[in-house]
Formats: sequence, C-alpha cells, structure tokens
Amino acid sequence: MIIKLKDVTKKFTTNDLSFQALAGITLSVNEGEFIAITGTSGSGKTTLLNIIGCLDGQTSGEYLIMGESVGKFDEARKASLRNEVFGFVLQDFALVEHYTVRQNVTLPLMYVKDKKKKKGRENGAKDLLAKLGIEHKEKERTALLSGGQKQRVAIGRALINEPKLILADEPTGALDQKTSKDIMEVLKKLNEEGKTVIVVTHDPFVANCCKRVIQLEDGKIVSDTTRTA
Amino acid sequence: MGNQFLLALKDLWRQKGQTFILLVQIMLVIGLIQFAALSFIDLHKMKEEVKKLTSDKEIYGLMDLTSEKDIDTLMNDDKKAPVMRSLYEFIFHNKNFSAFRMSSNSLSVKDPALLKVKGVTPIRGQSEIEYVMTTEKFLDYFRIDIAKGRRFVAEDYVNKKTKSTPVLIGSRLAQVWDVGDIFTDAYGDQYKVIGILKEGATYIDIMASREIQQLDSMMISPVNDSKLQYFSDYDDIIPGSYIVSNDEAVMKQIVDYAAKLKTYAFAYKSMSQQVKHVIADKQEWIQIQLFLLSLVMSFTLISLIVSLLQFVAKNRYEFGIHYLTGATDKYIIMRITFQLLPLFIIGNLVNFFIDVTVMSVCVTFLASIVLGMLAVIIPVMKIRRMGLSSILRWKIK
Repeated sequence: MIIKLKDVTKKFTTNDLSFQALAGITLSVNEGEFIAITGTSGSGKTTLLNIIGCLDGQTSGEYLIMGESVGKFDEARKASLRNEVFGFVLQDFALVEHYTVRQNVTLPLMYVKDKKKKKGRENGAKDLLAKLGIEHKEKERTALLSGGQKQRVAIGRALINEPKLILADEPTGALDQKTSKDIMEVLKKLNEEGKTVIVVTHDPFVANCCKRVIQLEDGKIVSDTTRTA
Repeated sequence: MGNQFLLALKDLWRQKGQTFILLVQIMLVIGLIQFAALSFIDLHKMKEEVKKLTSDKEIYGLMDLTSEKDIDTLMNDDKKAPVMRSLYEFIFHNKNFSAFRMSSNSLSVKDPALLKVKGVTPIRGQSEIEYVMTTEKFLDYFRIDIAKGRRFVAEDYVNKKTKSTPVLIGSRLAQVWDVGDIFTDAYGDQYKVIGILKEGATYIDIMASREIQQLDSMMISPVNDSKLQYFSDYDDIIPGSYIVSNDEAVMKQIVDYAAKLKTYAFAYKSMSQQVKHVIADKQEWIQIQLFLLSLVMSFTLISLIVSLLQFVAKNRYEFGIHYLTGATDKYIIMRITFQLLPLFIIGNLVNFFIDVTVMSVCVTFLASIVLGMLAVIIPVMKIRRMGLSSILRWKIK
C-alpha cells in the first residue's frame, strides 16, 4: 500500500467563516492503481489531491505514505516527497513561461541532492522529451507552445525524477477533446508501465479511462468502484 | 545554492532598470558609510595623536591677530629685519623652551616619474609636492624617524655655501629619488635628498588644517637661518611657530616681547584647548554625515524592501512551481537574498575609489550585511506566509 488516509478532515477558516472541505476521508491506494477522483465543483477533490501531494495539510485524521505518518514530517521532508515521490500535472500546466521546455522539464532536478542521480536524469531528459513527442521543442520557450504541448511538458517534468505516484488535477481541463484523448493515452501508458496515477476530474471521459473511480460529495466519499477488465 | 544564485542573477537581469537604480542607491549608501567611518577613525586617531603628543609637554600655537594695515607697515619698513631677527632668536633659540615652525607649502617639479606617485598632485604636466619647512624640534616632537640616509645636522640650518637645499623625502617619493639625488624645481632651485622618512610618518597642524597629515608623499626642508634676511623671510616662519613647554608663562613672554618690538599682535592657544574645538567641529561634521547617511539609508532600505516585495508578488506563481517540484522556503529565501549579494559586492567596489582603511572597509562590509538582512526580513515573512496550494490553485501572480 502506497497511501493510506484515515478519517482525514480539512477545514478552511477565514475570519469568521469556516468551510469543511473534507469530512472524514478514509482511503487506501495501492501501487500501480489508476484512480479517478470525481465529484461536483466544491466537493473536495482538489483539496484531497493537495493533501495527498503534501501541498497542504489535513485538519485532523492521519495520512500515511509508504507506512509513515506525514504529520511527523517537517517541511524539508515534504518538499523531498514532492520532488522524488510525486509527479504533478495540473490543469493550467504550472509551467514557468519564460523557461524553455528543457528548463521546465528539468526543474525538479534543481532540488535533487544526489549528484549521480541528478546527472543521470539530466542525461535522460532528451529521451523523455522524445517519448512525449516534444523533443523538437526542447529549446523553445513554453509560452510559445500549444495547450497540448504544454501539458506534455508538465508530464515530462512530473516524470523526470521517476516518481512512484502521478497526481493530476484536471489534466485535460484546458484542452480540446482530441488533445485530452492524447494526454489520457500518455497517462494510461504510464500506468501500464507501473506508475500509480491519481486523476482529479469532473470529465466522465477521463474518469472512464481510469480503473478505479472515487466519487466525492460534500467532502465525503460517496462511492468507490473498481472496474474489472 | 549555485542554482539559486544563477536564478537570482537572471532575476536581476530580467529587471535591469530597477537593478541599476538599486545599485546606484547602494553605492551611495556605501560611499556615505565609508566617509562616516573614515571620519570616525580620523577623529579617534586625532584624539590618540594629541594625547600622545601632549603626554609629556604641552604644545602652544601662536595666533597672529595683527591687522593687515600693521602688516603692510611692517613689510615696508626696511629697519624691521633686525627686530624680526631678535624675535626669531627669542622664539627659536631660547633656553627656556623649544619651538618649531610648522607650515606646509608646495613646490613644482617636472619629473614624469613623479606623476605615478600617490599623493603627488599633477598640475599642467608638473608635479606639486607638499613640503614642510621646519626646524629640528619638529622631527623630535612628532617622533619622525629616518629609514635611510641622515637627519638634518646643525650645518643644514645655517649653511650659506651650499647651492642645494637638503631635504628629507617621504617613503613614496623614494620610488623616484634616492639618498644623494639632486633635483630642481620649476624656479631652478636645487634640492638634495639627504634622507628618506619611515613609512607612515605623520604630523598634525592643529591650528591650521586640523587634519593628520601623512608625510609619505611630502618633503621636509630645514629653515636656513643664514638665508633669513628680509621681513617676509621671518614673516614666513614666526607666525606658524609652535612652542613646547609646560610653563604657560613663556607664551606670555613671547606675546609681550613681540608687542615690545612693535611687530605682531599675538595670542596663543594650547593644543589641548584647541583640540576640544576641533573635536567639536569634527563631531558636528560627523553628525551631519550620519544624518545624511540615515536619510539615504532609509530611502534605500525602503526601495530595496519594496523592490523585493514587488518581485515576490510578481513571481509568486513561479515560486509555487518551484515549491511544487521540491523547493523549500530556504531555497526561495536564498534566491531573494542572492539578488542583493551582487549589488552589495559591486556597491562595495566604490571603496576602491576612496582612500580607505582596513577598518573602514570592515565597517562598510558589516553595514552592508546589516542593510541586506534588514531588507530581506519583510519579503521573507511574506514568502513564509504564502499558501502553496492557494498559489497553484488560483494561479496567483
């Protein structure tokens, strides 16, 4: 088991207002799974993904990653998880527009401490770009790319450190139907190669591509179904 | 760390206009810190020097209060030369006290090699060398030692025959002349180097320039008794006299004797008295410098903080992406701080254009660190308060 959440809650408080985004989520994710988290807007999908990706912390409950409680981790350890264990693909791509494609893809290597690993991955960046079909764009500024190309760059960046888990938040949200299909193909292929993929989506097409679908409503899991082949 | 430094350099390049303005401000602040530090050091040195000089005996300076009209009368009176001689003898050859003359002048020498000597002023292809024409007690009183050659001997003060004036040269002038060398000034007068002063020799003319004078690029020549003939020769020496004595009564004797001879209307002041005024003046000057410095420094500090805050606000989303890929606060703070590093390094280069001391460079360096730290505090607090998930979710830019 790669991830385990036990009765996790998340409450946002601003001034006098408070909002319960997650209300007792209990969930286990095994290695190699391809999961879609769906639900209406405000159901808590992104909040859940943020907690899983150590971008945010839970208000209560326990979050275990590979058997260890994330609550005990300091900021540096969480950053290290974001760097080496998780690969993020976001709806708006989260790319630095004035960087080139290569600079964006190799950005996580800046925070890799093991020099040998870093060197090896730097050398492998070209192959990764080729695998994603954007090797000819290597030196171009990302601002000049199409939406689909940008998302491929984001996927490249998510994969450069060979993470165990790909966390995608509405990865096709900003793309047309055809490009969305291409991107989902890429994610499917990665899952087939052994990566665990969690996708947050409200798009039924994306959810249909996944093997397990978890549906959230008002911060609670209302259904968790696994498709059989 | 290296990556963050490179990113910081790129950030500076991306906002080059703003970087340039900040650099100018920092250079101004560092220049002012340097001047203030030098003034402090100078004041401290002066206090020490005066303390050292007056530890054995008090020193008095004559103040010439003679009216211009009386001076003109004296100058046009041919019979005054013997009277002036009498006053001169009374002051400089008195068994009850010792006296020396201390006033500096300059002479022009045409020697291209001199133009390379630090402290020598080039004027229309010639070099202006400052010199002090003085008597033997000057060297004793200021403990001026000779590195090479010899000191003046009694003959140097009375020699009628020699064509060239014997001179002691400062250590820097030894780059051009050696002991035994003879050189000629713009008027054709000859000078012979008889000795080289030890490096770092100084004197202080508390009644005149009030600054510690470095003798390294200056010369010392003897007052030649035998060449004193006219009123103007004596007038050049007597009013700039200093008297070393613990008995203030001798000063009254000098003042009375000058009045009796119907020459000068003298008053006198001790170095201890005078130094109090000088220190007060210097302290006032330092206060003005500090006031100016605090104004410029506050303005620069605000500019730096605003610039860094703008940078943080403008690049928040980019920082979010760095956090997403593994950066911690430490890396982002490093990137911000490293932006100031080249600015302060270049700013400190301004030191090379000012005649600095090791101490003043250290003070400026420390002040730069403090200013830099103050400038990053608020931006760092801002960074630490940034909610990562909000930045990425709402794409806050």
